[in-house]
Amino acid sequence: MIPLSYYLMFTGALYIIGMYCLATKRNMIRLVLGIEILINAANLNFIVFSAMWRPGFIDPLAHAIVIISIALAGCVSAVALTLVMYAYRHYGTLDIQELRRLRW
Amino acid sequence: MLPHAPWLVWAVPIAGCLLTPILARVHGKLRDWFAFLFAVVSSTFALSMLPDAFYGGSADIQMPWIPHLSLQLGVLVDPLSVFMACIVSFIGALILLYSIGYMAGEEGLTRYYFFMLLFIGGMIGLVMADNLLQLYIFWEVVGLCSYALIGFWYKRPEAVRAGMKAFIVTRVGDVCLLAGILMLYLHTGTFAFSSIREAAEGLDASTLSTVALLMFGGAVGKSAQFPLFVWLPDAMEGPATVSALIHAATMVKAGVYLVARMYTVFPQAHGYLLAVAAVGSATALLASTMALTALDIKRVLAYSTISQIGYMMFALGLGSPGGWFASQFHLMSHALFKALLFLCAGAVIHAVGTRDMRRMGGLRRYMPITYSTFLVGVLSLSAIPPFNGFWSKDLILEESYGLGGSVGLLLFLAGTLTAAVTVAYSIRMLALVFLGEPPSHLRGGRVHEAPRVMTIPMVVLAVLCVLSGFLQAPLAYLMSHIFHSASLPTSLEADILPLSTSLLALAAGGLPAYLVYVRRIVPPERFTHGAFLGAVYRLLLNGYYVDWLYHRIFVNGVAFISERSRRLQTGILNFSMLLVLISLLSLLGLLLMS
Amino acid sequence: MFTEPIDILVLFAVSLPFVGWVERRLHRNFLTGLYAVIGLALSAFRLHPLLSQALRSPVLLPIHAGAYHACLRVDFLGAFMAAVFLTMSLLVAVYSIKYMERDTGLPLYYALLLFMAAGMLGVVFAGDFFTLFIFWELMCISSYVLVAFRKRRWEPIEAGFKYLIMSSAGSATLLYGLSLLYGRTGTLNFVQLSKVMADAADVWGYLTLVLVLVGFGVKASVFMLHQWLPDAHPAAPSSISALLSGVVIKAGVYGIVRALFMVFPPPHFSWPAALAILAALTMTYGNLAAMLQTDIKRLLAYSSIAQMGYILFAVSTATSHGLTAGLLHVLNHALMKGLLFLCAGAFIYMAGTRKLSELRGIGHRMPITAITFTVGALAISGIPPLNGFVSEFMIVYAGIQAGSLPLTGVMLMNILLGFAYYLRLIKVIVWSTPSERLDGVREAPALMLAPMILIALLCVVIGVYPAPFVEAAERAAQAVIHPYEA
Repeated sequence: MIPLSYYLMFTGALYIIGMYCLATKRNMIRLVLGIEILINAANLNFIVFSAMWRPGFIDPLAHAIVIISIALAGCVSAVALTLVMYAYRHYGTLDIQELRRLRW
Repeated sequence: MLPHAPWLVWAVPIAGCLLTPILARVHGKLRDWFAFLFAVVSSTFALSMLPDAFYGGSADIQMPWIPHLSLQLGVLVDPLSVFMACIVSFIGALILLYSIGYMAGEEGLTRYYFFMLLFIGGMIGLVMADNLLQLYIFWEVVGLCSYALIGFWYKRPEAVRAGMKAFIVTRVGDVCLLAGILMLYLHTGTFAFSSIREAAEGLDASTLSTVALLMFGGAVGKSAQFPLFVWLPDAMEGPATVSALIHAATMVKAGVYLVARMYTVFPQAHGYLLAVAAVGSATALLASTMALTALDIKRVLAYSTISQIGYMMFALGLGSPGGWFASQFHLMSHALFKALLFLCAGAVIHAVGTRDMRRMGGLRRYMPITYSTFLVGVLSLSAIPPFNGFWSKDLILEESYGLGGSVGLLLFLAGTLTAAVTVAYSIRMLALVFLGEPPSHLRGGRVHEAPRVMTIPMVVLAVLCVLSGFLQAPLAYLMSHIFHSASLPTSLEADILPLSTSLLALAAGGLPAYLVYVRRIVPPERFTHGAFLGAVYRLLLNGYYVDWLYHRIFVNGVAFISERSRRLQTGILNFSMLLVLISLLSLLGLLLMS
Repeated sequence: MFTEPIDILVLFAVSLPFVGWVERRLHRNFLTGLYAVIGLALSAFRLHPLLSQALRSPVLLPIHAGAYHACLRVDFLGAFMAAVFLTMSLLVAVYSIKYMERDTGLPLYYALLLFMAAGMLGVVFAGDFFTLFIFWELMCISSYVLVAFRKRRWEPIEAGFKYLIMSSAGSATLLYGLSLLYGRTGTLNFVQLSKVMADAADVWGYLTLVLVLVGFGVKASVFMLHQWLPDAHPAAPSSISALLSGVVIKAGVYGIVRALFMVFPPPHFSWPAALAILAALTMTYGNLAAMLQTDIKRLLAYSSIAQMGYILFAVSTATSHGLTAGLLHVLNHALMKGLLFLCAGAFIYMAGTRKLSELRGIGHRMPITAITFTVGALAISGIPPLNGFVSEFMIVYAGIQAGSLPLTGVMLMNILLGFAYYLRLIKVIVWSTPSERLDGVREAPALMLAPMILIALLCVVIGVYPAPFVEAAERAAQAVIHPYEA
């Protein structure tokens, strides 16, 4: 069995990668992907924990949460990508750092 | 006492203020005269409470308000509150009568009468309140009215700015007051005066001092004492009636009322009293010197008000029932003569069209009634016998002399010096405006006396200035019910040293001023030029640069910090997300450390 | 299914496109708005019995036989917040009928409004984090689209995208924290968690706390997590700005309160000090940044950040009195800030500009709006006898009572700072002479005036007679501090 700590380190790393992506990447679509990575970190955590209670038992609550979460992530991505499309129409670029007209 | 008088005395003006827009729809004059009527009704209620208070009756009537905080709405009928209520309502009524003439033809009068009535109601509510939080609520309400009325002529940006400055500076004091009130509530579990008196027995001295000093901070703001006095001279942008009512006779006395009330509620620590006396006497002296150089007639009166309130504070700081009484006696005298002086100033400004004294002169022959009433006011202010200012101010000086010790002596000297300067600037003001030759642009019937609706209140106040000095004995009897054991001075003791020193001070201040401004043996300009005198002149003219300092620190300083903090919002999303990450880590660190 | 108020809202939202089709056939542009108003009114009407029921004891509605402890648990805190949210949504919907009449895509707007309201109600009615998260996302996604509603302009798109990324990152962080919570205890139900988490105050416990706090904090615009707010609130249509500033960020505060008091109870988890510092930073930053703003809506947005600081400061005292004060300020701020944004919207609708320099003196052309605006500005500055004073002094008292005197001093200083720029706002709007640019401006239409006047009256009423509202806030606070007592 893979110890729980390995899984937790992995999801932790995923979370950090997601945050890193949001903090450094300039392409707007990459930012949307960063959000996805963050959500996946949490989803994976749920799945991992669902199997840790008793050997052979998987808690359905966690899986239910994950399925809903994936669906919600899909909605968020849809809205986000629509906004990216409109942003491209207005600004002509996908670089988030060009969207700086609103500041101070 | 008329039925429900303690409630109606302030509820009637507030109801009146709410009716004002409706009355204004019917006819403007209806609104104006009804405002006066409401104030008269209010004074009737106030005066009706006087007999009961005079014989020692007192009452504390309450209604539940916020049960969660065990907060009640209540009124306290005792000598101090009834005394203040009478002054506020009576002078308020006179000033509203005067307003009918003074403000005739102005636009926005509905707003004017709305806020004037709200102010009168609020101020009376403040003095009748039986608990600190209610007092604070009315305290803020009168601050709001003051702000709205100073900025009445909003088309002048200076007026709007002056209103904002007044509200913000007084709010600094208000915030201290709130902190003091809440801290007292924390330790005593109640806001009501009567309960605090019992609960305060169990409090230690440092808590009481802190609370008292915080509350004094509020008084310093509202009463324009040092260091929060900078708003009052600018507040003269408002109409003269506003200056008379709010900034001379009543609202600025709210701080004095608060300190006086606190004196009756809990024991005052020695350090606190010293602070009050020091602030009061320093303010009195400094403000009187600033009045010497002011060029705007109302500004002179504003500094004069600051100075005279300094006298009241310093009397309260003496810590004795006699000093307390002297301050209240002077409060009454000052309300009368300062309101009178402002109303006369209003009549002058109305006639001449400017507030600048350099463009006035010789108005004595054109405005005889105004001149004579103004003269009465000036003589009262200068504390010339037998006018009321003499009796009250000399009582203060006498009490401070009676305190003894180095502190008492220092205060006494400061007080007499201030009295000397007071005479000086009063004569200067009188001479510049009314004496001498009128300038060319005012000759030939251009200047006329004020209408009767304006002169009647002025004359009434002048008569009272003469008479009220002799009311010391009845007033002392009224106030003695608050101090169950001590007896209050019913007349001036003819103690040789203080009396002669103060009369000498009057001469010392009056004679040079008379020679310079009335006889003109030396042109006043000699005192404004030259290396040393010029510097002194500029120092006084700029109010010891206090205002300039505040502007640099608070306005420019805050603007600087604000500009820097704005830069945090760079508009770059990556930076925002980085901040999120940083906050996550720092919160984790902060939580794990504690 | 999900308590009547939410059901009604969802039903109306889903059926709204049909009304939109009817509206297009009949060539009227207010039918969808009217339909939305009816839906919200009906929902509010059905909230009332729920409120009185929740007053006695929490109403438990298990979802699917409660096998996974997923449920809706309407205690008085939830009912109180729901009342605030629904009232504001209803008033904003009435206002929108006139305000949004020049826009296209109105069926989408009203449907999203209803969904956002339904989401917010679900958030506060949720009895466990799973349900909360679902409705949370419903609320968030609706708000993303509403912010970016006027897609033909660049500003809503830029603001909307940044808001989306930041808010989704927050939700993802929240979800991650929830996963750790689940991993620790096996349940996400509030009542269960409050029993179990008491002895989990170690590094992992604190990590979970921070993740959940950050997750809700992004929405509640605490310092460093707030950068989406100054862009999103001005860019949204003013009616939505009123909702965003007034109620959506309160959902974040609700989440923080619920999590911190029930899941990470104060004696075991020592978060009061850290939250107090965070609150002090939030309020100071919000007020300082608002000082020099030139855009009326951006100024109001920064002010919202500061007010959230006040609420969190009250919450951070971790006492019943502090929480009461905070919840009362939630109610008051929703009203005051909602009113201010609605008035700002009226000014913008009539004058076509958001810049303060161009709105100078508009109060003279729009007197009723100006009076309600002044009432709102004075209320939020804490002038008695208006409602802001009551909650602000209660918060200051809570701070003094909790003994954190330096931070209470910071709060008092912030009250002064806030006061300064609100006076400046009043000066520009009311105490100035209007320029010729504003010559054609008339008073706002009645449908826009009615909600503003109503809220202004409420501000006065709550200020003069606060007893029932204070008591409601207190019951709400008790519901979360002592969740087991019926």
